[in-house]
Amino acid sequence: MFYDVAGALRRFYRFFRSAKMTAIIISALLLLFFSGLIIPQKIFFQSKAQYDVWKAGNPILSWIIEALRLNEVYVAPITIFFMSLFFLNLIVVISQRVPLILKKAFIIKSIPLIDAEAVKNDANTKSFIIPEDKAKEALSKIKVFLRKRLWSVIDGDSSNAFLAVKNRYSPIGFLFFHLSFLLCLTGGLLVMYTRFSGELILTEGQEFYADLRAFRKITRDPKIFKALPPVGIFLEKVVPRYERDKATDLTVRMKVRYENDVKDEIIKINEPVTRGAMSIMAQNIGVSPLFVLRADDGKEIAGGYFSLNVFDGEEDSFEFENMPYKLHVRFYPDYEKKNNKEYTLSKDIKNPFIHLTILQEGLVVYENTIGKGQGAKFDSMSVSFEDVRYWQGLKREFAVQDKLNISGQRRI
Amino acid sequence: MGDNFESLLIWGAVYLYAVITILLLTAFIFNKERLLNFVIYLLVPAFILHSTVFFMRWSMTGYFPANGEYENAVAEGWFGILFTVILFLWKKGLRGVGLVTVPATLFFLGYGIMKNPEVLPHGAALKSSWLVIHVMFAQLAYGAYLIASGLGLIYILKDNKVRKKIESTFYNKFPALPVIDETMFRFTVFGFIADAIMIAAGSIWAKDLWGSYWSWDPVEVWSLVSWLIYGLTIHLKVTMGWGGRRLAWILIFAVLGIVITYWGVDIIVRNTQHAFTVSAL
Ligand code: HEM
Repeated sequence: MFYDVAGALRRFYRFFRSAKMTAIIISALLLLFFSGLIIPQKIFFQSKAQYDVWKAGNPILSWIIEALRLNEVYVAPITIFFMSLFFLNLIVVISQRVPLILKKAFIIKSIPLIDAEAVKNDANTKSFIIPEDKAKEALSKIKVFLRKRLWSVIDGDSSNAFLAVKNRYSPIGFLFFHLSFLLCLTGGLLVMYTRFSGELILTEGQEFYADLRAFRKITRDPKIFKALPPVGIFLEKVVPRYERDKATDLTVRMKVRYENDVKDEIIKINEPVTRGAMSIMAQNIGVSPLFVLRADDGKEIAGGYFSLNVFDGEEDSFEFENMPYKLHVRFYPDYEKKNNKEYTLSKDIKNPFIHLTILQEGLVVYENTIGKGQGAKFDSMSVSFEDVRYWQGLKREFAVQDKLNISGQRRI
Repeated sequence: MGDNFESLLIWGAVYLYAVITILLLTAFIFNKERLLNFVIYLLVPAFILHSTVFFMRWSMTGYFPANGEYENAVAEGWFGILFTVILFLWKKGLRGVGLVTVPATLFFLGYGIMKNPEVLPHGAALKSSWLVIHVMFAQLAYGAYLIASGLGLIYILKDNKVRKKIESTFYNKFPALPVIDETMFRFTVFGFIADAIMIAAGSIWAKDLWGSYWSWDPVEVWSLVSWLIYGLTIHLKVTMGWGGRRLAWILIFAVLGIVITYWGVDIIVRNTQHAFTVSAL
C-alpha cells in the first residue's frame, strides 16, 4: 500500500483553511501576546546586570523562557511562526471566499430559479393572484417601492421575475475588513525590515551629524538597508510651557540639514518634522547645566553642558573626563528655601539652583546648594555652575530605528 | 457655573444611578415588573445630568473628556447608558441590560470623583485631533461591549427559567431567546468594529507622537488581546455556531479584558507610556 500523500495533503489543506484553524491560530497568538504581559520582557530591564539578577533568581523558569525566547515574545520565532500561519490562513480563507462573496452580493449573477410550486408550499410566503393585465404594473410598483427602501432589485432571466436584496453589498465588508489585515501585516513586515529610529538628546546650541556610532541604544534595528540618511540637526531653542507643573506646550526650534538642503524647522508635540524618509519628533525634555572645573589659579581644566535627568526632581550624576570626581546633582528650577526645606516653586527656570554633592573615591568632599553663577570649592579646585539650558530628547525615525543618547560633553 | 454646579450635577447622577441599581436588583430578584417600569423615570433624569457634565467638560476644555481619571470616568459609562436608555424606550424586553450598565457606570463615576474632579491642564500630548476619534471610539466600543454582556446576563437568566420549565410572567416579557442571542451578537460586532477603529486611530496618533505605529506597549497589547478575544468570539459564532449560553457566558467574561486594559495596566503594570491619567512630556 502506498501512503496517500495527495490525500493527506488535501485533508491538511482542508483543515488549514477551516474556521477551526483560524480559531486555533488566534488563540495561540492571544496566549503569546498575553504571556508578554506576564513574563518579564527584556526591554523592561534597565540593564543587562538587572536582567542577570532576575535570571539568577529564577534559574529553571528563565531557562525555559530563554529557550523559547518568551522574554522578547513579540519578536520570538514562535510568535513569528504563528503570525505567518495567520497570514497564510488569511490568504487562503480570503481567496476561497472571494467567489462566494461576489455571488452573495450578486456581482457574479446567479439568481435562484423561483418555482411557483415551491413558493406556494413555503409556509413563509404569501401568494397573490393579480389579473394578467395588471401584473406588469404591479411588479414595477413593487420594484419602485423596494428601491425607495434601499433594497437592490436585480432582474431575473425572465422578465417578470426579480430578486430584491437588502444590504446587497454587505458581504463586501467582510472582504475589505480581512484584506485590511493583510495590509497591516505587510506593512508591519516592511517596517520591521526597513525602519530605523532612535532617541537623540541634544542641548540647546548643540549639533549632530548622522553617525551610527553616536547612537547609544538602538531600539529598532533594521535587518537590511542599514544606512543613515545624510542628516544634520542644530538645536537652537527649546520653549516648554507649564501649567500647574504640567507640560502643556512645547516648541523646539532647529535647523535641519537633509541632503545639503538646510531649513529652519519647528517641532511640537504631535507635530513632527518630516523630510524625505525621515521624521524627527520631540520627546522628553530636561536640563543641561554648564559646569566649569578650574584649578586654584583660575585656569580652566574641564567643562561643558551635561544633559542630566534631574528636571522632575530626580538625582543624576556626571563625571569630568579624566578626573577622579563624581558629581551628584539635584535641580531646582525656581528655588525657594523655607524652614530649612529646599523646594521649587514651579517648573519655569526662573531662579535655578543646584544641590551638588561631589564624591572622590566614594567619599563626600563637597555638599551644598548653589545658584547660577556660584561655585563650589573643594580639593584645591573649584567647580562653578554657570548656565543652564534645556536639552531636548528627539526621536528620529528613518525608513530604515534607535535610541541615541548623547550626553552633553561638548566643550563650549 | 463652575465646580459647585458641576459637582451638584455629577453627584445627582451618582445618587440616581445608585437608586436605580437597587431598584433593578430588587426587580430582578423579586421578579417585580412594576419596579422595572418605574426605572425609566429615574434613568432619563440621571442620564441628562450625566450628559450635561459630559458636554460641559467637552465645551469647557475644547477636547473630548479624556484628561485624567475623572473625565475618563464621565465618558466611560456614557455610551453604555445611552444604549440602555434607547433599549428602555424601544425594546422594553431588553431593559435587563441596565443590570450591567448602571452599576458599572456607578462604579466608574465613583472612582473618578474620588480622584481629581477639577479641570486639569491639558498635557501637550493630548492636543491632537486624534484624541476625539481615538477615545470616542474606545468609549463607544466599551459601551457596546457592556451592553453585550448585559444581554448575555439576561440571556442566561431567561434560559435558566426556560430550562427548569418555570413559567414566569416576568421573564415572559423578555424577547425570545434567539432574539436576545442575535441582539447580543450584533452589539458585539458593533463594539468590535468601533474597537478596531479605536486601535487604528491610536496607532496613527502614536506614529506622530511616539514615532512608531505599534511598540508593544502594555496598553497596546492589552487592547489587542481584548480585541482578539472579541474577534475570536465572533468567529466562533459565525463559523462554528457558538450561540446561546456559550456566547452569553463568553460575553459576560470578555468584559474583564476591557477592565484590565483600562485600569489594570494603569494601576498595576505602570511601565506604559500610554497614561490615561496625567502625564508629563
Ligand atoms: C483599551 C484601549 C485603549 C483605550 C481605552 C484608550 C484610551 C485613551 C485615552 C482615554 C487617551 C487619553 C489619554 C489621557 O487621558 O491621558 C488615550 C491617549 C492615547 N492613546 Fe489610547 N487607548 C487605548 C488603546 C490605545 C492603543 C492600542 C494605541 C496605539 C496603538 C493608543 C494610542 C494612544 C495615544 C498615542 C494617545 C495619546 C498619548 C498620551 O496621552 O500619552 N491607545 N487613549
